[in-house]
Amino acid sequence: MKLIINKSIKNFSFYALWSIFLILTLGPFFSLGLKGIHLPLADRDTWNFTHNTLVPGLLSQTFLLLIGTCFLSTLLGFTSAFIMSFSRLSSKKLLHLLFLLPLAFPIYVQSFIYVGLFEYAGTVPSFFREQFSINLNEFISIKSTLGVIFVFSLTLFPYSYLFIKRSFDNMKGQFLRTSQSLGLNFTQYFLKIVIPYSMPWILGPMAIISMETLSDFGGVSVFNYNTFTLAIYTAFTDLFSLASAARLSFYLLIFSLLFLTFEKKVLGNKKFNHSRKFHNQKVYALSAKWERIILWPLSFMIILFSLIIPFGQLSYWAFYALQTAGLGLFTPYLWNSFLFAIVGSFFILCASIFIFYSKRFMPNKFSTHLIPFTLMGYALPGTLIALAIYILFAYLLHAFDLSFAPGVSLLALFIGLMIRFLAVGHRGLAPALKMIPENHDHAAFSFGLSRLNTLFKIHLPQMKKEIYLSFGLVFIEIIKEMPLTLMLRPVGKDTLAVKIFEYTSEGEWIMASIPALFIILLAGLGSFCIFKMEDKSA
Amino acid sequence: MKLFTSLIFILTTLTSLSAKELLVYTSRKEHLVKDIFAKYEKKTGVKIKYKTGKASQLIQALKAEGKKTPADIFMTVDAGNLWFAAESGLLMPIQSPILTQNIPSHLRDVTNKWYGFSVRARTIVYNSAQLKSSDLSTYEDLADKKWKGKLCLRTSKKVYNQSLVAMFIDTHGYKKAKEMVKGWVDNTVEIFSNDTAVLKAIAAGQCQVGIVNTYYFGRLIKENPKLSLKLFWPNQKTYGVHINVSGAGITKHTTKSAEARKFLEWLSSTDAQNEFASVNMEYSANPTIRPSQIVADWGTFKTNSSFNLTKAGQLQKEAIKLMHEVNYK
Repeated sequence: MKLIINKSIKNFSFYALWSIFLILTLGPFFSLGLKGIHLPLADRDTWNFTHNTLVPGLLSQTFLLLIGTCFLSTLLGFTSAFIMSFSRLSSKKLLHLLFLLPLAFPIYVQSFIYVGLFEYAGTVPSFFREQFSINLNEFISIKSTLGVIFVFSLTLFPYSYLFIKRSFDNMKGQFLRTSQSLGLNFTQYFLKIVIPYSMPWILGPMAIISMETLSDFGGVSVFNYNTFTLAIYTAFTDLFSLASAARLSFYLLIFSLLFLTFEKKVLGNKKFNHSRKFHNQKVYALSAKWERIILWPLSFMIILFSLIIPFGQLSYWAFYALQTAGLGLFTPYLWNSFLFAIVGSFFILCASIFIFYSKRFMPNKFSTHLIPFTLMGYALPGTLIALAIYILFAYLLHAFDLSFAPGVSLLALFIGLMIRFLAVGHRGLAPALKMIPENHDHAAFSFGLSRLNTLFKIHLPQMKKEIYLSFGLVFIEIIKEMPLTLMLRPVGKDTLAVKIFEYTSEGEWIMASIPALFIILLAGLGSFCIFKMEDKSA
Repeated sequence: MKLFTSLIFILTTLTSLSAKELLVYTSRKEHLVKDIFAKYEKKTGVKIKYKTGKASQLIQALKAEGKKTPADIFMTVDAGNLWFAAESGLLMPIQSPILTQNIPSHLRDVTNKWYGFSVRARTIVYNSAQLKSSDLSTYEDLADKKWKGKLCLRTSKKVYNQSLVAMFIDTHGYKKAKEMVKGWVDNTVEIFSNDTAVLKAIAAGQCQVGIVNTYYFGRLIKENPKLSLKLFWPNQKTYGVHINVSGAGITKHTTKSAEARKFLEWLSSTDAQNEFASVNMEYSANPTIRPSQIVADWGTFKTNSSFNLTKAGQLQKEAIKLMHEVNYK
């Protein structure tokens, strides 16, 4: 009897926690949904205009950007992973770090750097016109669809790289002898064995790349490239119709669920075979001579465009800006960004561990089916999540007759960040779920450990790597995040991203370079920690 | 539930604003308001706190917060935004002889829910190495085929252009305004995300002429005085140059309306007007104040004072639709 009561209490606490978690993650969407269901008479015109007139024209542009960015990001990620896994290149650790670091660039920063460099009045075309009388813009148009795809891919390819590299590293060496004995050369071995086995990890990251692309507004607006998010922003920003914006945002939610389902289908049951026997086996694609001719320049080009050029340009602008503005001007924003990122990452990590716990100990349909819904915020523009939270908080505060004080704003900010980046935190922890065998749990239970104790004493120590990785990835995302922070931050707590918004919206790219550089250094620090941690565990 | 209520109560109590403070929601950027707010605090002891953000976000925040809003003042650029805030019932009428005396009627709301505190002109700018001022005449003329491949514009997503087109709709009617804006789009070389980029493109020779707010011109010329750029005041024989304001109103649910009114009155005074406008190279809304030397050097011009800025807000939707219909991106 005692056992039954204990079990039901435990289940009750679990369901109570799930209820709170669902209120926090889905509550804002419900409030947004409620706004969308009832369309005020005054908003009907706006809805008809945005939905019937604006959206159809935006779909092809959005689709082109989505396909192009997925393709080029995967190509760049594939190439860099190939270089890392199948070449003799020295300093691979450094190379790995350099392939990771573009993650530190927010899309909107990479965009304003490239536009500033390559538009007609930009640094590069001006140089070519003045020095060689060549109009570079006849050949290069940075604001074309291809230009936007190129810049987005430079920022997003590390997601693809990380997955594919892991897959190659796990695959390489396996079946090599068998294929050699069958007379296959490297190309045949790579095409017939490595690629098919790695396919899930090649396709999987496309979900995250698509969601990042679809939810972006800062980057595309620098290019004046219109995507689906424009319809939402037009409804909300220009036509002040929250109900129409809420309705339109449901399209993004559907896309988000589709991408998450795709990712789950592709990667869902796939596992890496951690075989030390093959892990360190050296397999080379090309002779040393051809490596120097092909792979060296290729890796240099990727690093040049994704890292050296943007970082160089930003440093140059920052140097110029520092002649009029002191660094001290930005230190409070640096501190706020850092603090929000640390606390927010911790908050999201706790939520991710809670999901992990649910999947591990309560793998019932209730939680399994709800988890994808709690992760869909990643595909939504930050502004919309902020609004959804604002509406929910407004309902609650009115109900309790309380005011919207800065402390409440802080709580709202962290909930908003959680909704936006829970998918990132969860993705970091997910591999641990497959890695820790279930017999560990059985052993722990047989020693009388509760589920919570098993989590803290058995699981968490084993998944340190995933925890740090998760924390690092979320930290980087929060540091870079702009629209949500802009709306939900407490009064007087501006961040670096907020300052970038203020300067770039006025076209003051030189001044924006200082906070941008700080963001990249902070996010770079996060990437470096991930790199060190991976290095240690390798 | 008790825990939630207590938590919210503690957060609310600990962080609520004191009586000697005012909170401003502002879409004007921090570096444009920080010093002037500090000046008021030094003068009166009233601390001005502020939260910056996009106008639409701040308006939605005010709507969501309703009666419990911590904001006392809403400050933004473009009369369209101010009109919408007033129309949404977020601002209260301000009865102040000082404000009505200092701010001309066409720069304030007809029901006194908002007042403009600085004025910006959206005018024509041209490459002085390629064109003479006599080549230019009106906004309407830029739709003529002779400007094909020579015009650069800022995106239609910016409220400044929406208000400008709203003025054309008011002046010419929808059909004629549409023909005119279509002419612009046909002549455009490229559409840019901001005015500074338009100015740089003109200076670099990508195009010869464009339309910008005057203070962007001022900032760029201050940075690089050698640029071949000049301002031109169009429509001097007809309705005059399109102007807009940055302004403010008092939130409907503030409990500090008297304090907030005093602050706005001070903003309209000689003491504040010079700085409020000159920090961004704008014109003072108070006509008794002379603009800064840099701004004065651009010359005097006739403004379109017959266009009440309230209409910019009323016609904004139509303007957006018009621009979409002519593929102005």
